[in-house]
Amino acid sequence: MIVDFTLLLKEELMMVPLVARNREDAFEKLALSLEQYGFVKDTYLEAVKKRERTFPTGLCTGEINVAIPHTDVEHVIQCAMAVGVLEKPVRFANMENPKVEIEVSIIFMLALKNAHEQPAFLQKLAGLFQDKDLLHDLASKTSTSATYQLLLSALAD
Amino acid sequence: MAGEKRILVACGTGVCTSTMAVNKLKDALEKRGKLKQVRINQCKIAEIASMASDNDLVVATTQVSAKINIPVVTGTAFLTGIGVDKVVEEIIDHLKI
Repeated sequence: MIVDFTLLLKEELMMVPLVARNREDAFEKLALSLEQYGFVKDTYLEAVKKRERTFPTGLCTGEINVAIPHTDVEHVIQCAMAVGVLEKPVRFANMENPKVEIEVSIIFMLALKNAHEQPAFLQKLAGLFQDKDLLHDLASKTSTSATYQLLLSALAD
Repeated sequence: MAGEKRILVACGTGVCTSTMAVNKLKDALEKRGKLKQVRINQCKIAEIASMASDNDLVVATTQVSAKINIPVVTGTAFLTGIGVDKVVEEIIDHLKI
């Protein structure tokens, strides 16, 4: 099966640099853009915030940490991903131990529509978290187009 | 296959991180020639308690607060790539495969 990741990656959903005071501020900005472009319902933001409190999504990937906030499928209209490269890292609780906070530099906010949708895409994305050079490269990007192009080539490999 | 061990991969929504983790887990077991000895299912963390009796081990990407009587292994290594070997050895030890 050929999966076209370009349908999931959208330049208008890249926020680079993302200026945010904290995690929830970043959620608001990223979720608003998903909502403006019609990918999620107006219930999505609150649902993401609530879920993050119960199941935090900060991932300690080494030097450049990432987070993958998302929520239940009923708040999503169409599958998409908003990406924020933070100007300054914000604190997230660690997925594997919510008592530990980590500094996150890149946020991948996922809007998934169906259970087990896009497994190949999700696996590609997880593969990206394991590539430290690429994360460094991504974190250093200062424009939406550069971020988009880098993600496009990284996920298309 | 009779006697195969069942692994339940769980995350908060049962949609996202468990999907990310499943393939890495399969790859790691395949590499060790153990993949044929297991069957892997996915679920939400909230479903663990009701599904535990049908499985031999849980791999969870979040903390598990439910009291269950099968081993629980943290699976975030399959997302970050850090410490994968250790987690896989732990899984193999628990399952005795």
